[in-house]
Amino acid sequence: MEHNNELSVKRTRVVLIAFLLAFVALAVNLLYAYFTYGARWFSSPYNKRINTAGENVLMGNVSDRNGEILAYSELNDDGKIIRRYSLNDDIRLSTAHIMGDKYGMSIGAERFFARYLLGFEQRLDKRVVGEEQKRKGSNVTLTIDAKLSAYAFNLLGNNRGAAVIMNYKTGEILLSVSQPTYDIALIDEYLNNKKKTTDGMYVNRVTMSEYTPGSIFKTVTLIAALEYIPDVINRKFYCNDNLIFDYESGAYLDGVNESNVEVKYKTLSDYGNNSHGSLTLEQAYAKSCNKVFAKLAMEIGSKKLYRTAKSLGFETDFMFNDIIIYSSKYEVPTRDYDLAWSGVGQYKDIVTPMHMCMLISAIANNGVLVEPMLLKCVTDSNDGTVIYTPQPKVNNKYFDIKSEYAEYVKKCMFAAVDYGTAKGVSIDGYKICGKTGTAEVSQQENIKPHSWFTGYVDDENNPYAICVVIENAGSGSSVAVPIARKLLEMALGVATE
Amino acid sequence: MSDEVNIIRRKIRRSHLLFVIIAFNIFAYLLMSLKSESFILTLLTGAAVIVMILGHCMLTNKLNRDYDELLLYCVYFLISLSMIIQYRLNESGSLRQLPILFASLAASLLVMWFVKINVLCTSRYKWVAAALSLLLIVLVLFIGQTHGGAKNWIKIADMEIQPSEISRILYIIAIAGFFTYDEYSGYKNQPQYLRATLFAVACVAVLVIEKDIGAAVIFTLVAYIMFFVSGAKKSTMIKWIIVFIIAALISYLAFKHVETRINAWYDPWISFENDGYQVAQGLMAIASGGLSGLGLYQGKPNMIPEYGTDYVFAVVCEEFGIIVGICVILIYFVLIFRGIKIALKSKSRFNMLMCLGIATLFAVQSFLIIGGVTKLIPVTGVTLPFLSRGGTSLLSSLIAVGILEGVNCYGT
Repeated sequence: MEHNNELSVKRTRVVLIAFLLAFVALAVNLLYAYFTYGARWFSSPYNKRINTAGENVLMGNVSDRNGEILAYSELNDDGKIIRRYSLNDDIRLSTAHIMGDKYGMSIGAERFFARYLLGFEQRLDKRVVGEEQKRKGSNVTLTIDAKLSAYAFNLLGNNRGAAVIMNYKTGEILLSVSQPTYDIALIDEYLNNKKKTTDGMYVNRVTMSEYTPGSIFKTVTLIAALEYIPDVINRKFYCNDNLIFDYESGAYLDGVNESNVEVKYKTLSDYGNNSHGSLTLEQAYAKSCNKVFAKLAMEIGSKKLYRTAKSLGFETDFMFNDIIIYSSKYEVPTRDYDLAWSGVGQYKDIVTPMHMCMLISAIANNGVLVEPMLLKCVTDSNDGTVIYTPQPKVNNKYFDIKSEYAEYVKKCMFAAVDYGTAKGVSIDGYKICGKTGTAEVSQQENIKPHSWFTGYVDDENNPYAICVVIENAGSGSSVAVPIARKLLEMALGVATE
Repeated sequence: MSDEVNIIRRKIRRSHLLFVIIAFNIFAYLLMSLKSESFILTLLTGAAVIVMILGHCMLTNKLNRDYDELLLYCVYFLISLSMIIQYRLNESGSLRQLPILFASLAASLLVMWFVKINVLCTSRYKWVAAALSLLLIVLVLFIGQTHGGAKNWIKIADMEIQPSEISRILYIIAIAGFFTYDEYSGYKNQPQYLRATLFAVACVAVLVIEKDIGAAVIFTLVAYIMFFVSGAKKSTMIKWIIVFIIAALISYLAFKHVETRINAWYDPWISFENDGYQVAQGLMAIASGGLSGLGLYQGKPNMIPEYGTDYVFAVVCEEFGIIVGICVILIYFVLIFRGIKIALKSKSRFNMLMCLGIATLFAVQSFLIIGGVTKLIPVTGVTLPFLSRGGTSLLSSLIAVGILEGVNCYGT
């Protein structure tokens, strides 16, 4: 017909295609959002469905990898459901953060896996039961080793800090403890102010605390140097005088030392004012030489160092199913002085212990990260059949490490244990590699630095990566290293005590 | 005669869809009867819904043999799902919805008959439609009541009416009329862009004054797409986009609740205690339901604010699952697709523009609210056609379907 001119018909088709695209976007977005964020939305502390379901459903048991029961539900005399936790004090206290309390003050396994524990995922026919009998959720087995946790908990003692061990081949998290902790069974008392709370006790330091990394950041600078400085491996370095920077502008004054400096200046020195003399790159890493790494950082430049940090999981929002990890930060410095310090893990560098453990895992596993996981399996609470076993998942999204760089970093980490700052971690019969860190957190003399150790066991059958941080305790080699050794000995089953 | 045979064949081929819808109703009401307070009342409600749907289908068939089955079946499915959800959420409330459903279905048949006797298929009444449309939304300005920040409903003798819902249909008829130059219009081969623009801007302005941003967005988009299809110049269309961007910026700065909606969309979790509450609750409901849903009565939809109206899609996802949610999105698209198909094959320019306007109305409404609930776009308080509770919304949506079906048979 003449009224429906061709233009209108053509444009109607355009509108139809626009609508089609819009509705495809709706559907794709819904699925994408569900698969990316669904687990996180569900386990949100605001999701009251979990709390109210807990009143009507007998929540399943949570046990550790060896079958030790960490939490279970039972009916009391009035027919109300009560959540009970392990009676062993050390186990209960050491796993508090990993379990998470029922109010979501700290979010842990009980919330991440509420879907299974409350039976949300069960088939419909299993979900419908008679009024008089309570529905039962599924049982959940964690990858955590409760005995190891209790041991680590006592080892940390009254120190504030965190320790985490994961299997870099499977991603299983064996240990994750954070001090100070709280008693998960007394959560109501804490919230009613009947029991005294400790500052920061709900914070899971493994995943949420933002620490200055100190020298463990040199691993990042090392990888950046391998990437951006040609033939850096064969270069000779010389560590003698402190580096001098202009006080006002922060500019590096090359060729100037403290005897002939004429302006007001700031310095960059090594911990304890050591000087290491002539060094290879490997030796500089093993002996944790600040000056060499500060110079490397300035040679690489802040933009490139940022790019490498980003490819190693800094400034990244990790999306894992079993664990929420706060992002580590590398702020791009503009002055030489800040850039130099940022290259040795000071300035405004911030990391979480879990991220560092993942970084070491990826390096140990030839540059490939296996996603950290906390869930070993889900079993039916009635007949014990296994409902779901998650498989190790390789993740290429967050870490981008060339395998030859990983190979070299591994060599350097072995050197650090062989003759460097991490000597104290060595265990007879095992090849341990690692890096210490001593993070200055205050200008004041009486406040000690954070003590770090990150490392791994180079062993096919015991592929463990470890990260230990003890707050305000002293140098990495004096505090974190002995603790890491004991933890690894326990994990490897060669503990002497 | 072969046409007649083809029609009958097609109907038989597609009739199984109707059986699926009836079966869906039967199973749902049987399941609900186990859980609800009154076993008999539930089954009677289900029976009433089924009888109404079948009755409507038979009468449509009687009125015009060559009706568009797919369009109607989509509507029947959505109505069924709506009644089931409303019954599950609030039994006594949904019983009051039954007579409204009956009246709406009757109204859609009546409109079909209007189209048949050629009352609605002309641009003759565009001024009447324009006046009524504007009057309805202006009325709210004076006697309206505020709900959720927007003044958009009036109360008459215990009935809550949203005039802007009815106004939308008249608005489409009026704009289609302005763009038509047939024997009734008095225009000489020239769409009346100025009149249409002035009318549309007047309507949107009143809605903005009432702070009914959702309706304002719908009115704007519907008019824009009708302008586009009626053959407006490309440069004009681009100029209008610039105007919209400026208007959006101004409303962002001028209205507090536009800003909070956008913040709540960007990150609902940091402002969970106040602004982000609704969005976050919706997302938690969707995530709790998972792909296959928790099952009827197994979820906790009452935690979501506006669970029966704006957020009904979150309830669908929680209890029926994301897969059903995606089916609902698909069904809306089929509905819109059939509407546009009817527009394309209609003979007169007026009919074409009117049907296109109606299809656009469905598309914009469902996209805005489903996109808002699933955090694709910021939430605008819009009802989901056919699914949301609310008599006016149901009535206007079914009248729109009546127009489409009428044009399908007589306007082509």
